[in-house]
Amino acid sequence: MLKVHNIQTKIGRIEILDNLSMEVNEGELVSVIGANGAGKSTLLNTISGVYTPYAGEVTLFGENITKLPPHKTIRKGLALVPEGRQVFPGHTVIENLKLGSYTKYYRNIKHVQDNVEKMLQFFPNLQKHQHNLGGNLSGGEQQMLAIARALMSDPKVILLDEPSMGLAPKIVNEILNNLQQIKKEFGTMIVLVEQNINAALKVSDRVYVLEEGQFVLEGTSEEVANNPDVKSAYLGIETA
Amino acid sequence: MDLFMQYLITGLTIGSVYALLAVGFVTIYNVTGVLNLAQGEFAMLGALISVTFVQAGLSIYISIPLAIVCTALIGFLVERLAINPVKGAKPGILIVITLGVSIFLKGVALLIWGTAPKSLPPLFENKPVQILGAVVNTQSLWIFLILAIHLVALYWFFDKTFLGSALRASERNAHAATLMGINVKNMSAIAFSIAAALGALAGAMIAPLTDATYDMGFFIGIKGFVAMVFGGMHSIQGAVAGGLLLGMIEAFSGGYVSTYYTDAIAFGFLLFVLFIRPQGLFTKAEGTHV
Repeated sequence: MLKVHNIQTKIGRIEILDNLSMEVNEGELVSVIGANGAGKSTLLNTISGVYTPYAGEVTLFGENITKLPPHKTIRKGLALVPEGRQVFPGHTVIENLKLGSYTKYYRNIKHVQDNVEKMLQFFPNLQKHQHNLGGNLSGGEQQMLAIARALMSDPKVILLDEPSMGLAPKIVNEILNNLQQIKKEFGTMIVLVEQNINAALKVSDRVYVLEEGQFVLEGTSEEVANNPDVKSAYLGIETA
Repeated sequence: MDLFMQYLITGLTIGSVYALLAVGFVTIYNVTGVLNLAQGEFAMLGALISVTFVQAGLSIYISIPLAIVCTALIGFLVERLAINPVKGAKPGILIVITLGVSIFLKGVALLIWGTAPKSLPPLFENKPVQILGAVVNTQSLWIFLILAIHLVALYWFFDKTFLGSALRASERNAHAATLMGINVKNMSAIAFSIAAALGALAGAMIAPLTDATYDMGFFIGIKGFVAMVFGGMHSIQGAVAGGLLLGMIEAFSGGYVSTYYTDAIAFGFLLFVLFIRPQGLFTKAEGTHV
């Protein structure tokens, strides 16, 4: 399992994450919700090694990965789907997928090709556009490509940074359903960071609410959805 | 018409030399964000090291590949010793560092080879042949052929191999490449080695045509840079097209106007391109969805 223990992260001189702890168990889809600037992206970037926390630890199945840079954490089984998707626009869908398995490519090309097939079957939209350039896909397709590309490294955990950003509600639902399927079919642990709180609550097993760098609430989706503060602050439901 | 052909072939030959340099520029610029002002020095090293091997009694067909390997190694060392330790510094600082590298390499070359121009023996028997009415030296034709083969190989490398794909990914988006598990720092060393090898090849190819001196790097580097700007700084195909175009402009302006004005016309065209299409002549619009 993935454990984050008392991490503190600064960007420049500004403290973004203040003593955060969380854990994700095997088979879980966990969401971190919160407003703009609460520190959600920083949290994912700290776990994946883009930022190094100045205190605290991140462990994956007991192994300390706190100080590893992202090109090493992916070798430990942790893949980040970055904010804004960041597919390679000049590479075809298949080339994008193969880059996702960069850590395995030279060791086992056959396995990589099998994985490409698996992803194309899992995402029929990508199969349709397999020879098109990443830059020519629609926003939803790019998001699917970014997720598929992360799965290509056979990760134990994938971290998703606002996959719903800029997408139509119907596509958001499709992608969130994909995540639930991924959890079931590949057994991947998922950490989802979202501003689209309704959508996140629907698919998650557990939810953390992040405010100004600290978790103010943690619980199952139901508990969080029924919390009066969450209702009024995030869901726009007035509670008497 | 025969003159036209003559200028065309001259332009393509010198243009493919510029193209190799421009591809070197583009590769380093996009992988590391550094505008490598020492690119011309790699050409100088390729030419002069070839001369040394030939003087030591080696065949020219062995000397040039050896010189290319040596220069690639120098490129690798430049990245490890001068660029990598200050990774994360502002682009301006990195550019000044490459300027320092350029002056350093030029100084070392001056100590080793002195100021006298050196020349390489002709690669091939130099006799004039007629093509479509134009009289062309076989030497230029062979050089053009060798450069063309390398440009095709380069295209194949970047487009069809996995390492090439990873390099292009690092060029396009270093952050996303890191997330794929690509160690972008290693890619940066590979980029410098490739660029140095390309520069050395370009230098060794022009050495039999013009003489090689310790300070030849500056001007040829500028030409490669102009070719890169024509192509739009980001694309390898653009750099190749830009190099060929620059070579052609020089050859035709030298032939039809005057050789005195060759550089003025070439750089005038550069200004024109920068005014009209600062993003480069050969960049295609590429939409990104937000």
